[in-house]
Amino acid sequence: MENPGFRAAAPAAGPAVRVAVPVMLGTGLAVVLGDAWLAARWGGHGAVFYTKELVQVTGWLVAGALVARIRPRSPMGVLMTLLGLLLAADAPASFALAAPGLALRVMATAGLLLTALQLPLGAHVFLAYPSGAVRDLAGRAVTAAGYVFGAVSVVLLAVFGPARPDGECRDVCAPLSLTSDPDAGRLTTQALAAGTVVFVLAGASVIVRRFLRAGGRERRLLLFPTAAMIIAAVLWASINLLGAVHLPPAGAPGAESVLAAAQFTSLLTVPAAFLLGQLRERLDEARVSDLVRGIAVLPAGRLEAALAAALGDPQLQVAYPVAGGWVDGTGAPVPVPEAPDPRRFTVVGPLDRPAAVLLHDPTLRDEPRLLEAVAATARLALENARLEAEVRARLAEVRASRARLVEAGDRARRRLERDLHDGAQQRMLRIGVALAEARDELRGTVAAPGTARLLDEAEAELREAVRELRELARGIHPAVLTARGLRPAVEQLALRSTVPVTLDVADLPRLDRTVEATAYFVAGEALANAARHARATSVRVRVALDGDRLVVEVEDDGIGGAAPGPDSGLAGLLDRVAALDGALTLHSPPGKGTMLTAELPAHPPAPPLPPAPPLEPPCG
Amino acid sequence: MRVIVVEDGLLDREGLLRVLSRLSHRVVATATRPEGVPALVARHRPDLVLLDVRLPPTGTDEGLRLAVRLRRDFPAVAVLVLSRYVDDYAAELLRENPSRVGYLLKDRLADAAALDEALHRIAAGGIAVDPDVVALPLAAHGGLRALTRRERDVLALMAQGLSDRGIAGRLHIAEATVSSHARGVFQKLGIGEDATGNRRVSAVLAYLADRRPPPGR
Repeated sequence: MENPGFRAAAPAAGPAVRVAVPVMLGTGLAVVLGDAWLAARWGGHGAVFYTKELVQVTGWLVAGALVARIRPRSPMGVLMTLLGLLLAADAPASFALAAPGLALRVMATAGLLLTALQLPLGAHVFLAYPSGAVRDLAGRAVTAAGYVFGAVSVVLLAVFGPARPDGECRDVCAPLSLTSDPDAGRLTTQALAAGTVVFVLAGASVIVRRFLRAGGRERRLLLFPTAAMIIAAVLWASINLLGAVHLPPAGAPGAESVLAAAQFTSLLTVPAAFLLGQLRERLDEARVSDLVRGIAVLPAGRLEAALAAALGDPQLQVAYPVAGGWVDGTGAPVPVPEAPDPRRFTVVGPLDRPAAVLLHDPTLRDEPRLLEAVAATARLALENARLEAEVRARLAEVRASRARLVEAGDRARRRLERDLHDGAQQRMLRIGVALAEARDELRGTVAAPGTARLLDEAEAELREAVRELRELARGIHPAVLTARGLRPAVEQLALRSTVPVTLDVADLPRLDRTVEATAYFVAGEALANAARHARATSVRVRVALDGDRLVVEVEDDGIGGAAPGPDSGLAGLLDRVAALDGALTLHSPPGKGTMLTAELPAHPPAPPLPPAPPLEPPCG
Repeated sequence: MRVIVVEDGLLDREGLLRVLSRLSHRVVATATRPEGVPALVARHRPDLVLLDVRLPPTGTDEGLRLAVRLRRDFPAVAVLVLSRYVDDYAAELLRENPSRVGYLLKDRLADAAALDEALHRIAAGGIAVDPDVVALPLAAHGGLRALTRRERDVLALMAQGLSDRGIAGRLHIAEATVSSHARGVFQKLGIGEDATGNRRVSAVLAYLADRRPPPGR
């Protein structure tokens, strides 16, 4: 089972690997030397043929041993070396050894049978790149099928033997087999070649699909090896297709030798690509030292970018745990799945109280030492950044709750205004109607002389009460603001101002209710102050959208010197504007007039934080 | 006269019905929502529709929109909008179609005589604007600045919908004096003779519109 984080140190390379790879390398090189001797002594082909065969074999052996050295924990090197060893062992099968004695025939036969394993082991190596383990289902299925196919091939070759060429003995001449029916041998070879074509194409499609599904970082690592593997696979499939369609393989030497040369080149390119890929990952680790040097002076906001660069994963995200969820460095919520894919998720710090989690490309888990180094380096900085993010998140929450308070207040004001109209005012009007009726009833009767006068007084008082109630309701929340928006409401304000007002109000779209109300109250307060305290003779009101900000500007030509007292309307406005993430500035030099400017966000406030997932080890 | 009442407030509706019946008007239909009103008007062909400016569903200005629509679709039917707001909806209403239309505060329900006068005036093709709406403080700018105080008084009463004789009675001056003030108003507001018959309406519109603060710079 995989460890959820890299809390446990990466296990050292097992003694098996430490011993096995050099032994395999030594054995393989010895076998290559033996092959060379066989080729020199009995080989029926030119020297070029053997050289290329053996160079390819040596390439796999050496590359495998180097990869094992670079990545001692990964089985990749072992697999590659093993493939080299197999290639070295089965090479004599294609050597066309002349004058075969029994010993050579046995050797060629053994090589021939081993040849059947080339395909499954090769596929295994290809599909296991870069981690050394085949993790996806399709890859495992193809690998398993390969071994079954290899086993069947061994049996078929052992029973029927390969096809015999008609002309000169060029390849495996007279290997041992249980039967010696040339047609059966030919059929076997053709069937196996066809099977190989199908199999190689299946494996190639798995590799292509993997590449297409890979993230940015993985693609970068996979590009070159994938290209090499696909070319090699296509050439391999082509050669087998030729073999399946027209036998004997000695057929048209021209086209076939070109194909063979291409196949040789591409097959040699694959181990080189694998080696380079692994080397490149190793180079990533060099970037950690850059991180170490810079991290002490790195601002928390750039930490994520620095980690992304050090890990070579541009999509890397850092999430900090706060009460109520996960946030990024700015305190904004980050979606972290309930049960994160353990390969994309690394915990920094103790599991029960992590400093942060890194959400990263899954291939990074193949480089635990890189991850470990980066995390160890960044741990303190991440801890600091978490504290900062927590403060920011809290601040954001306080802000949101403050905005909600203002909103709730506005809602209450709107309701109050409506209730005054629908309740008290309606009833007062009914009283008015009743009074009028009472007067009608009185007409023509002999009532006490004071009654009519009392009725008059009552009606006059009632009229005044209704008027006062109307103005009170307007002051609480003007209906025109709800119905028509900011511009008509400000126009009404200007209409009621005792100081002449010049309006410069743009055509505005309807905005968030709380924002509209705040802008309205700013204009109202400034106009009231201009009339009441500033002794102004003219006021200019400007309301305009400036990008995503709503700007309200009220300027008078009064005596200036205004300052927001602790209980003044201005102080209340300051709080109100700040609650909406806006800014209110008062410029009021004595004797030079007053200018009040409010800048408000012209959009609805952000939604609250999502609920926090429980922080548990990401895999059980 | 035959009236349709559109009002969603229960108390207000009852009050209205009582006042109207006391004034011997016949309420041929009532409605609480604006949607079905045009059909009601088409069926009953009333002399006048009385409606609340605030109607469902949003309770903002559905009544005003309905009034504008009724004036457009049924030119022979007068529309009186009742409101609790002094807000400047009157100008909007008059601008669309300045006849057979009125805008009164609901306060007038308690003043049956004034309400009746307004009803008859607009049913006869005139206009009626609530004195409180007309009386909003005049900003000291625009074309109205050129008017004398007396001319302004005359214009404000014209805006309420009063005739020359009514104005004369209200201001305790001779009708001829009112006419001369009115001519002064028309002249200063640049309302020519060719605007036959509608000079009063044009002046009132100018008055209601001019109280709006002018656009800056």
